[in-house]
Amino acid sequence: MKSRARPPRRTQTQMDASAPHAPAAEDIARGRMRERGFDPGTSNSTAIEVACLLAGSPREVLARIVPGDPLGVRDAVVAALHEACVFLDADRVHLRGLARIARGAARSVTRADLAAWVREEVAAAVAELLREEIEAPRADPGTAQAQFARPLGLDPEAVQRGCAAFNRLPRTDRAAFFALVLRDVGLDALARATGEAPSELGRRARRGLDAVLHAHHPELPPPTRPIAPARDHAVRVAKKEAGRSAGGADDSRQRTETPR
Amino acid sequence: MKSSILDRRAQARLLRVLRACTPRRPRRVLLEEAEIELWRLYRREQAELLRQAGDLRLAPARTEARSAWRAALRDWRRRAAECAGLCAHDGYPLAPRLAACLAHPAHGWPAAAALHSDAARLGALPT
Repeated sequence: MKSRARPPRRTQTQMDASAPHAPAAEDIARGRMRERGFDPGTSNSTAIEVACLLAGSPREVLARIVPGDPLGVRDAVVAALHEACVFLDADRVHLRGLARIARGAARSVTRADLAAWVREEVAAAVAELLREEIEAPRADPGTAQAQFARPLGLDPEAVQRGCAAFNRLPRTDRAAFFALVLRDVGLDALARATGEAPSELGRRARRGLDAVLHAHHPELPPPTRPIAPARDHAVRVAKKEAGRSAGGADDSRQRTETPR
Repeated sequence: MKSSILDRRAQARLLRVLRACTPRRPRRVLLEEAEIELWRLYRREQAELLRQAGDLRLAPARTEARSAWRAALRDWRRRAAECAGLCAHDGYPLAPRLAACLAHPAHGWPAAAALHSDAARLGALPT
């Protein structure tokens, strides 16, 4: 195998000739690092690269962070969406996150942990887009929901409405739906992992599905069984009391909330 | 016959859509798209600054509220100047009324209603 050609070794004279330029470049890099909150004493080449990456105006920063994704924004987007358990267009979150990072690079001078800061900006982008979805819902034909719905014969606007309704549910409901329905985690495994009752997890996942279905048919009553009316409940309580006073065993069917 | 979303096959198709829309790795974006998004961010920031300028337009009548108003005005001027500087550097347009606010003292600003209407116009972003 051929050995790689090495660059020619510099002579002492050449090194001396370039010596006056070297400290100047180092000083600039150190100055930028101090500006960005990095400690030059413990610096390494990565820190210098990051400091240079985030220097300048937002548009200049954008031009450096978009090609090749050196800050790992795409991974941060996936992590943020998984964490939030929401149906949002990942590409929109990515674009918003990049713009926020570029803008924030000029604003915030010090930061201890760059990865944590990127995660924060992406999480803020998710929150911003969710807020916009509530404040000004709009049918965007370019979203992932619309693109996937059309070939399957579903109304893209209804799917978007359903996703928006799902995103408004409490996080616990969304997480249960994601785990049980979309990731196909077993009910028992999820119950063991979360320490919650399987019936409660099932109810939560069902609420997630109901939110999506209800957006398609708002005129229909909610598909889940309604809670028993007050009169039936009073009758059941009275029966239970009567059973207790008779010394009989408690019927497990009487404990259920819904009438059979 | 048009299928209802409540029948099983339609629900299965819906679940396929939802599975496809689960958090995924976004595609690689082009710099142009990111620059358009940055422009939207600038517009939102300018809209917010104009809305705040409309609120700060008149000094409060009560003397004890004046110092808080002055501090808010100083903070507003700092943020507006930063935004204007970055817009100029990056080549994005600055709202004319925002530029007028930066150039004049608060009592010479455009009317609060005009500032609020500009804020609403900038806030309503084109898709």
